[in-house]
Amino acid sequence: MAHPIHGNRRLLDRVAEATNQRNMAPSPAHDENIIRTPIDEPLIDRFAAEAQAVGMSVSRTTEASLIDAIQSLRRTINDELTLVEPALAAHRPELKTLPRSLTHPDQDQLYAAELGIVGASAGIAETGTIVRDAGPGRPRSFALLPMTIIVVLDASTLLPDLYDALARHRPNQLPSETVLITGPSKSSDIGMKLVTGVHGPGVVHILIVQDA
Amino acid sequence: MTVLPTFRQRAAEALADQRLRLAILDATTQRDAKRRAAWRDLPDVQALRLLARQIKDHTLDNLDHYLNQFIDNLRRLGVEIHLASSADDANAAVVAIARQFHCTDAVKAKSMLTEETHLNRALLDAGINVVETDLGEFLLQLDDDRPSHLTCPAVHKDLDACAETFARKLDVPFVADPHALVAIARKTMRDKFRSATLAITGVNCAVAESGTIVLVMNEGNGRFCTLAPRVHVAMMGLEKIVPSLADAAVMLKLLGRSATAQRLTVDTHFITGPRRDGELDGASHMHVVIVDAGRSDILAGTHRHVLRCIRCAACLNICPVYRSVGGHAYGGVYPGPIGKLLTPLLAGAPDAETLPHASTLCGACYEACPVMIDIPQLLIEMRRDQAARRRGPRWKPRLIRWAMWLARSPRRFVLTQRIVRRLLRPRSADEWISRAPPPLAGWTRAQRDLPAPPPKSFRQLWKEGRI
Amino acid sequence: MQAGLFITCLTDTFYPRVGAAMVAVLRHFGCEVRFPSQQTCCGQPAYNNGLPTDAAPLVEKLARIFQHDRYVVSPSASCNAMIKLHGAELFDPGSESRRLVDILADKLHDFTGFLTDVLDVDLTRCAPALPAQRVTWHYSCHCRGIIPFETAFERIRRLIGSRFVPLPRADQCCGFGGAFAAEFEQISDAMLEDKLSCLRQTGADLLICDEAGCRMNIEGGLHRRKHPLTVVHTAELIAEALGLPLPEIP
Repeated sequence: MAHPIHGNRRLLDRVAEATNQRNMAPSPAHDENIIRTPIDEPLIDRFAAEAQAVGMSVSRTTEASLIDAIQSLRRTINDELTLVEPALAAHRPELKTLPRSLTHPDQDQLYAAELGIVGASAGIAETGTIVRDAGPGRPRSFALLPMTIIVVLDASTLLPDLYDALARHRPNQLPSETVLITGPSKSSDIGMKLVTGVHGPGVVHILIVQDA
Repeated sequence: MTVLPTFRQRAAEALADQRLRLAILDATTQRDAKRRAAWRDLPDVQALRLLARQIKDHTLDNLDHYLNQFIDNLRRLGVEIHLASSADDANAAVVAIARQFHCTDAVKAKSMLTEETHLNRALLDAGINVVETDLGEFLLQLDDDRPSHLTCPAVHKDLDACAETFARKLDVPFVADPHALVAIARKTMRDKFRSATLAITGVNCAVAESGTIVLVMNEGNGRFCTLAPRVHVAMMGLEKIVPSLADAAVMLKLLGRSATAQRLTVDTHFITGPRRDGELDGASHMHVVIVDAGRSDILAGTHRHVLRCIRCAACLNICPVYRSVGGHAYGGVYPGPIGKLLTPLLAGAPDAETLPHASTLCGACYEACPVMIDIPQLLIEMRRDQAARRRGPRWKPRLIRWAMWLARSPRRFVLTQRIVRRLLRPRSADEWISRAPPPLAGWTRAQRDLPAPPPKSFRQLWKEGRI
Repeated sequence: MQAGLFITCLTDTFYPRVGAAMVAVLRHFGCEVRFPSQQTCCGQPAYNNGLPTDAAPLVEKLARIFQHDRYVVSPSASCNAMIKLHGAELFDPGSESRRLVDILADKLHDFTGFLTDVLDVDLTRCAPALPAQRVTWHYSCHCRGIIPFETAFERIRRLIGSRFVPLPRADQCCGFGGAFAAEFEQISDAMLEDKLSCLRQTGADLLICDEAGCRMNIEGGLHRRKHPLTVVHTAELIAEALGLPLPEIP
């Protein structure tokens, strides 16, 4: 059922009046050569370089070695309470066996967790960006609340450019939210000094699975 | 915080504050240098700027169509829409939503529009606590201070000033260490996010073809706002529409690079309706407030190009006037070159009419603007409007008209030159004047002498056959 | 080769020596110079302050005065910008005035641009000897739109060679802005202070500043602070470097 429109429709009338009888400029054509940044190396290499340049750590791994890679990262933060994204765990059940990990935390556990292990819908090589679509089994909070996150990214989902990332879905088939994550949470609002881990994660580890 | 009544007074106050001046100069020159470097990173930045300008102009030319398309998509997604003709309407809509959900605590991500409408005041008056979650805004809120820059709102406060504020208002020890201060803010804010029923955000970009709103931030507070509380209200100016996701990509290519020299901000999120079945977080109710508050008037008029603005602050960072006086001098919500237009046209401020005159028309802002807003030309248009309506400073147009009349006749012109020499030369010592007479007195009130016109002009020397 | 000289009101009144130097250099490179004395002002103060109808008669007058000159040369980019960027819009397309203004806009050059683009002068040979050790240069913001920064920078670099010391924030406005300097003198002062601070950083003993308004502003600030830095127009620098005799200017 379509929801109501509140307020005064005068706003729409005013806009119609203001745009009436104007010389309509044509809808501008997009020349992709000026929009896309050219990439002349393997996407995985560019992605890794850019993601590192914005302060995320990047390692390459294989499906078989993934769980070991995750465990060794966990040890660097003393195996603290960990959230594991249900959708990710559905494909890789061994993740559910990690000690002190939860796929369905309660609110207190959610806010207490120090690490989140999540998947990615895609990656953007141009900017070293992780793309996450929201959906069942992919809570937004798991990639935001913990101070450290590990993102498992399938190399086959790497895209060259932002332009491609926004062309993945048809306009009427978009998920409720897509987040593009390009670095750890940060701010330099306090005395112009850069600090990470403001409200979101201060440490982001990306594990690129090359043979997913 | 009281605002001094005239621009000149505010500017004088800012200029007297050495600490502020150094902070602003440092911050803006760094940012501008980074912006230039980030632009060089694009395959053809001038062509991209032109495309961005065309997209915006096309959208504004057809705004009725795109606005309706956007609204249709929002309705399809189950988002409730509120049309607000005025700032008061916008605030009333948010208050009504808060009341509907029995909300007493709200969290808010930075939005210039909500500053423009004074939303926080309206919420407080209605008994709703609202916490600013953007670190700089949070700091300012603690101090009851106002932002002085579009993207770096607390740029006028140095580290000690920040530490002082936290110590005083949050009852924590004074610690002039950014990491410690951020850790305090993080902890304080989590409790607020968790307990708030309502989140209020702005909108950077609204995509007509899908009903998507785009938010662009770095700290994580925006994402927190839109995942934790039950209700999300997004307030947007009606000019924020772009037709398609591909158009949004063009804007995003320029926005981060122009604002903070980032190709993309840390969090760029696209919200297309409330949470769906099976999702564990995200707002379950979403409302969009579409605000006019003077924008349709601008759209109908000769200043419509200001509506292209994507609030990147590139013009602030390059403007030598802004670099000298900082944001508060402008007296309103929008500072800098774009603020000289937006303040008189939209938000208003004490002595807003002086703003279009406080510019040398140097054009640096035009060069820095990712959507090619010809700010100097628009300032001239505003001066023209004022002259036609007989508003603004009266002595200047009178004096200039008279000077131009004198210049229309070579004989009068030469006579005027002679009179100027007669007036100025006697006041000079060694060809320099240290106290100029009105109307030039301001020249020498600055730390600057006025050269005396030489005894003979070029044309006299030519006439005498000396050249 | 013939050119009309558009002296501009500030250079005429305050810097006649610049005009004399321009004429000397142009003649040296084989260009005959005509100075029509009916000229007065380009109307920029009126246009900039929202009074276009007061600017139009002056623009038209200039267009008529110079209509038969092959080229027109001026010392000032800002007056040129007035004509080239804003002149046409003041007149109806198809009108005689508009036709004349378009013609003027097309053949109007700044001094250095005229040397390089029309007279084909090799700037690297124009200043064989320089009266200074370190020379710097201020880009007048009103060149924007008619002479890109990179072009102007390259010209100066070719002219000065290894003694050129680039000015930090060379393209930042010095704070003149016409009426602005007297109307908002405190802000103007702050902007001037920043410009002077950048100048100090160069350690230069000579500054090239081709815009009369900027020069009045910067020299005025230098003089008040008793800061010894000589300021010249490109024409004066070339005239002196080539040893061209200039008339005695009282």
